[in-house]
Formats: sequence, structure tokens, C-alpha cells
Amino acid sequence: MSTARTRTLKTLASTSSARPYVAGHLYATCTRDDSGKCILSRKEFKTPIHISKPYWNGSNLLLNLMCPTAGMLAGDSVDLEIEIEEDACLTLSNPSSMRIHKMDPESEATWTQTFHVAKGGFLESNPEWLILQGESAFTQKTGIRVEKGGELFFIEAIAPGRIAHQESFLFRRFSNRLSLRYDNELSLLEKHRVQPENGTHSSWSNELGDACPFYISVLLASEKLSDSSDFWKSIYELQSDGARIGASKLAKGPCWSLKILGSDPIAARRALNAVREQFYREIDRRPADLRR
Amino acid sequence: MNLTWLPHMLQTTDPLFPIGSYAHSYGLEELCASGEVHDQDSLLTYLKSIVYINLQEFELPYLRFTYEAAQEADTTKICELDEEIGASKPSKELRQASSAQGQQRLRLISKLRPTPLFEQLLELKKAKRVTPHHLTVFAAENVELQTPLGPTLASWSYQALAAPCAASLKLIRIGQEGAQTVLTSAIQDIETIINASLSIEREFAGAFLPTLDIASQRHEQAFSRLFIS
Repeated sequence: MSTARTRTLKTLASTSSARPYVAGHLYATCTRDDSGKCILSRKEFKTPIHISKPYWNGSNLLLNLMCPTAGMLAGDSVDLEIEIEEDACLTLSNPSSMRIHKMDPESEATWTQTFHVAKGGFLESNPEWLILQGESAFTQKTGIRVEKGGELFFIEAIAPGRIAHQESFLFRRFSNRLSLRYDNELSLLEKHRVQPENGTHSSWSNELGDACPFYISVLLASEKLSDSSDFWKSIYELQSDGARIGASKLAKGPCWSLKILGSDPIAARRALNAVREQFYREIDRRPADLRR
Repeated sequence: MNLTWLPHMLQTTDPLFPIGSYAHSYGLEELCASGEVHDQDSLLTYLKSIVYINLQEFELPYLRFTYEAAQEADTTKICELDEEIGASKPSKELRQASSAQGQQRLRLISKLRPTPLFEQLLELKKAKRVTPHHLTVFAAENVELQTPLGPTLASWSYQALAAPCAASLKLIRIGQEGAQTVLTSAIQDIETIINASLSIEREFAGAFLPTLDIASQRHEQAFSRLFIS
């Protein structure tokens, strides 16, 4: 268990303004009850995380996560632990963008999250954009474990600044580490520290051609998907002037990585929505209405 | 001057050493097909914006970690690192290019110069505890040949920069002289890239290359192609 659980409101002594920072969390377990309905059998949360009342659509439990603060500020941290029990089905959505705000050079905000999907369970994590604003530093660590027979649709959507305000790649540092284990085998390990100041963003900013700064990564896991499926051909054909898209099987298990780079957030989301619709059709599940 | 390692290193990094690298473009073919890499200047931009970053943030740090593990004959750590190398590639083609060349290099080097470490790697491969990936075998090989770490990193860097230049001859109108001009410019940065790579720690060792990932992922579905990756 992360130390965040025991942390309360603290003061960031290193900043001259001694701004208070918050260490929040969400610990939730989704269970299918005797009547066949999915419920939250455990929910504990603390600012800056708030959650909506869960909504059951007959096949999928929707839980909206909200950050009532305008985003993450220097020193803020969040710890998420989401457990999907056997045959349970949860869609986790974050209906508004999460902004990482400008902060002092020595400061950063951190987000640590773990997800566990048991056999027969299903998790969709579908947040809105993570926006790395100018002079921000953010570390995100994600650990996902899917047991054999579990299913996953996991999205990361990242914008390198407030592009509409001509703020692009002005964040200080973005450290990201994600591991996906399927049936206890390492399927994907993505790690990187992007610092525009030292040029490590150059593939993202695409010095070779048109700028497509809106990045979406989707991880898909399901035994109902196969490498030979027409699904992948249809994904390939989703590429348009505003969105590049590719997909490939990962190292272990029935797991795939799908990546989108969009010239604008609408083009990127449009491609994502098409992928989502086709994925649900392919695995024969009913998607939750995200109510955004 | 002790240069006994040098002829061995030259042999194992020569294009004559048959590990099949000529059959791979490592994602470049798709970027040429999309028109983004189309001449000498854009090839150099490709090297600087993608290959340099991949070397500095991912390949050279992992080569260093594996070299150090091989020096200590720590096979558990070698297996862990090899697993991480494979899982770090979100494209099947890039992963298969890495494993095919690693396995071919191991098969060949263990026949030419059998050593206990190569024997162990073959046993681990048989037991499915290691793939092994190209970086893993290259690290072990250079430890066995007593190549110092610096030249090991430099020779890997040279190959990583030369391979796309060689592939470009078949993909764009560039010519031998054009490809050599690009390579000459790129290899001047090898020392800087190696020095920057030395501070990368394992926790975040990895490169963020969405343009390359998508290009390589799309290459799998491409209607026609010259290269395996």
C-alpha cells in the first residue's frame, strides 16, 4: 500500500510560499453481486479525488472520477487502486481534462495507479486529456495486472500543453512508467522521461512532418481478439489527414497496443471513438455511455 | 597497448557477420512510404529525432545494464533485462527483428567462440527463460571478447545509425555518397549520445517514440514491403 494512504494535508517546505499540497486517493473494488449487478463493494477517496454516484446500465458499471481542484499543483499526489473482481465490469471515466500546472523547478506532481482485473472481469479506463502545461513536472506510474480470461480497454490521452493557446512542449518533465502483466507475464513495459529542454520529445513533436501532438495510447486485452481478425485491418483504415493510427500485438498474452497521434483533439478522439465502438463489437460487450 | 578485443569486435559488427540485419528497416520503410523521409536531409532528421533518442534513452542504457550483469555472470538479472527489452517494444515487427538477430548472433558466436556464458544463454533459451534479444547477446558477446564498455556502446551506436542509412539506399533516391554523407554527420554525435546515456537509470530507461511506434505498427499491415520490419 502506498504511503499516500497515511498522508494528510502537508506543507511543501521547499517552496517559499509554503503552499499546502494534497495527497489524495481512491481505493475501489467492483464486485458482481448475487443479483448479477455490478456494485462498488469498496470505495474510499480523498481530495483531490471525488467520485460520482456509480451508474449501472444493465451490463456495465460507470464510475466518474472528478478532480474538483483545477488539476495537479506542485507537490500534489494521487494514489489509485482499482480492483475488478471475477466477472465484474467497470468503466472508469474522468469527464474533464486533468491539468498539470506550472510549478517551481524542484517540484513535481505524482500519480500512482494500480489496476487488477480478475478472471472474467472487464475494465475500461477512459479519462479525458492529461494536459502538461508550461513549466510543469509530472510523474505517473501505472501497474496493470489482468488475470487469464480478464478483459481490458485502457486509455492514456496526453496533450503537451494548451495547444490552442500556442503553448506546446513547454512542460519541464514528464516521467511515465507503465507495466501490463497478463496471466502474470510481462506483456508491456513503457518507460520514459520526456524533457523538451533536452530534445527527448522530438518524435512526439514530429520533426519529420506535420505536427500531431495529441497522443492517445490504448491497451486492449481479450481472448476474443485474434491477430488475424479483420478488426486490425479496420483499425489500419481509420488513418486520416488528422490522425495517424497503428496497432500491434504485445509480447505476452492476448494483448495489443494501439496508438493514435492527432493533429487536434477532435480528430484524435474521433479515431478513438471508432476504435472503442469496434472493440466492443468484437468482444461482444455493451459499452457504457460516458455521459460527457 | 592492448587491442586484442578490437579485431574480434570488428568481425562481429561487420556487415559480413550474418545476423540478417540487412532485411530490416526498423520502421524506416513506412516513414519513407508516407513521404516523411524522402531525401538526405529528412534521413538525417529521422536519425536525429528518432534513432538518437532511442539510443540515448533506451538501447545504450540497456546495453550498459546487460553488459554489467554479464560481467558479474548474473544470469537472473540478464533474464530480467531481456524480458524488459522485449516488453518495451509495442510493435511485433520491432520485437521480432530484435529476437531474430539476437538468436542468430548467439547461435553463430557460440559456435565460433564457445564460452561458458554463451552455453548458459543457450540453456536459458532452451528453458524459455530468455529470448534472447539482440542487445542481450551483443552485451554478453562483448564481455566475453573483453571489449571495454565504451567501445561496446560506440560500436552498437554505429550499427544503429548505419542500418537505416543502408536501408535508405533501397527506399529513397539518395545514392551511396548521400547515405555516407548522412552517416558521417551522424557518427560525429556518437560520443555525446553515449555520455548522455550514462546518466539514465533503469526505472525510466526508455524512449518515447510515438511516430516510430505507429509507423512500425502500420508496416505490419502494409500492402507491399521490401523489409521484414
